[in-house]
Amino acid sequence: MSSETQSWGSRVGLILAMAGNAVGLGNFLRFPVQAVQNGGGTFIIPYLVCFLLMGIPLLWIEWSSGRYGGKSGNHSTPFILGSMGRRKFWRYFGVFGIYTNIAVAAYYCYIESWTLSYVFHSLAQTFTGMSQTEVAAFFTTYVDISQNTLGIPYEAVFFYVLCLVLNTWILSKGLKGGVEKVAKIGMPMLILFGVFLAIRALTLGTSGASEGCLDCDSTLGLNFLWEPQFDSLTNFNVWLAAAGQIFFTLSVGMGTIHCYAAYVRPKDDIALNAMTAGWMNGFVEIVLGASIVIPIAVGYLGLDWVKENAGFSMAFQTMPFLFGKWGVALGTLAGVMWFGLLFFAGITSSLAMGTPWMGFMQDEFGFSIKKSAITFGLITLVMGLPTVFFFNEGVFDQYDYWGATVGIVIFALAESILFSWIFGIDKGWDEINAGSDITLPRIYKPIIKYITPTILLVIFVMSLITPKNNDYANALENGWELDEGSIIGRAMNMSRPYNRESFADHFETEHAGVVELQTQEEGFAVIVHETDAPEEVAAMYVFTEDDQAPMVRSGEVITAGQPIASGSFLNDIFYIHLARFMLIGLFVFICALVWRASMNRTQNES
Amino acid sequence: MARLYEPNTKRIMSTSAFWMMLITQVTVTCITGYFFLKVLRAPAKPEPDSYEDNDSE
Repeated sequence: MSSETQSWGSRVGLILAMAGNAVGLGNFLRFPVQAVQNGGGTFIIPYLVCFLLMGIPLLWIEWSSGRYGGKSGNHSTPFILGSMGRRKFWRYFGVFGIYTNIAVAAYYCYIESWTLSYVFHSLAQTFTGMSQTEVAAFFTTYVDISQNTLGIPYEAVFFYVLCLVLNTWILSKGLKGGVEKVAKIGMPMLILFGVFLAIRALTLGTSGASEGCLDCDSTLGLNFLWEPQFDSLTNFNVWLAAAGQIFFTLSVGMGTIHCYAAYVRPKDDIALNAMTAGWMNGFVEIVLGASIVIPIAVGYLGLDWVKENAGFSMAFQTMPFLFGKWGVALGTLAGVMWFGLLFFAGITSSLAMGTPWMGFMQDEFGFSIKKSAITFGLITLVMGLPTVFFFNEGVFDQYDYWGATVGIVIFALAESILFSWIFGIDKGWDEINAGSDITLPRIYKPIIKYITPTILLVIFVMSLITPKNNDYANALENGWELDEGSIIGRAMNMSRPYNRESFADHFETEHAGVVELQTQEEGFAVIVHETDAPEEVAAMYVFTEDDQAPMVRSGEVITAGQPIASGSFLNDIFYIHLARFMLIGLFVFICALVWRASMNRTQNES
Repeated sequence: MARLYEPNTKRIMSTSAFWMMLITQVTVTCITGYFFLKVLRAPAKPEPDSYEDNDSE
């Protein structure tokens, strides 16, 4: 084991680090969109119910599991879970607690680097005078790594590496000197920036409405977000969305909480700490997160626009344009605060993602804090560069789905079963209560044993076999057809019915319609017009390679899947396979390390 | 169906939405504050505890 022992500086520091781990970009971007899509104000009811029945129990399970593992010197999930279950098999389930973090950190640091870059661009007033379309196009240019917006070659790669170096440097300072210090600065700053922007949003009213826009009013945005629609309470999808949101927002099922809690001594409280960090995350999400993006966007662009466009991309493609309407000084300040807020939300989470790997390498291979931080930085860089270079080809999405969505659900389900049924709920309950500064309601004992695993099992099964269009009633009546977004659907690439070979000698159209063949400066373009409305363009495919030739003629009616060009093609499915290969490779690599560590332990014991 | 609103001529946040927002946000803020204060007021555990900053006390 490493001779360096880590510890937290203060209890408040630990709680802020835990809250910072949970508070991420999703608090400001995912929550309001989920609320808008799932019943407005009524979404909060299933959200809070899921927080009480699944969120809090999982927080207690993870905090207590971490502290229990820490007693025997284990600071990462393979051996924390291994110390709780009798079978060595649990160590390999614990691999998810390292794998998920590296997979997520790889692409999360890329988003974080956007926020850092946009802080600079806000200060440089890059967005001043830009139209909404230009601001949106700026982002597209930014993620196209061959272009640059600041004069720095490979700007997106530069900021990504800068962000990763920053994370690695902070991690190398240890828990107290690095992670905790950042949390103590970052969390108050985040709340301060959030309060400023929320006040501005709440007081915006109709002052941003352009002439003729009748639904441009920030109050209308709040109304849209909070108007209760009680009939949505009977909608299973709303409950599933609320459970999913709780799951993602608390950063449970990742192994970071275990790692942080492993440095808490057995007689110190974890129950109150968990509640405080959990509710602090709720405060940032419900009070601040709900009061910024949607009201400001509705105030300037109107409710109809927001209904159609609400999503993650608004943070980068819309907000800078809206801040520009506040004048140069206030607009610059708001831009710095908004992207600064997102940066602090991001970095406090990405730092947490580094600690399970570091704890594992220090415990099992005697790495120093610095060496373990550098190896985390390097492995994340190797995993992350494909997300930067092939962002538009879908590598990013693959990491997000298989790392952040599927990985955490499997891990949380496994750990809740382990805690309640293998480790034993009586022992587990005593573990949660040990050193507690609050009296825990006894009702939580059966909740942790029965209800939490059941909810997790339902989430997992429903994610695995989601019916087409999330229509459960139709699936039960007319046969269960899988949705392309289900785990099985994603694994089978159901959303890509055409061009399914990585390397192909022809290209298939994804749209049916009437062809217009157009000669370009380089190569040719196949424009597919809607059959019913010939003036509408359904799709446009541009072919620029010398060996590519058209297989259709102008005026020809084509069907989806029909080959339209011959030549050699590298389809996007190649990048999807590449991403999955990288993720599987990472998982196998960590399994091999756990196996090696197990062998070392056996040798040391004998 | 789309609803038309006339800016500045009437209050467009419904009573139910207003109360839903107010009750939820005030409740969440109070609970967060309550737990945070409880942490600050909790007596320190005897040394050695988990935190380095109070080691000299």
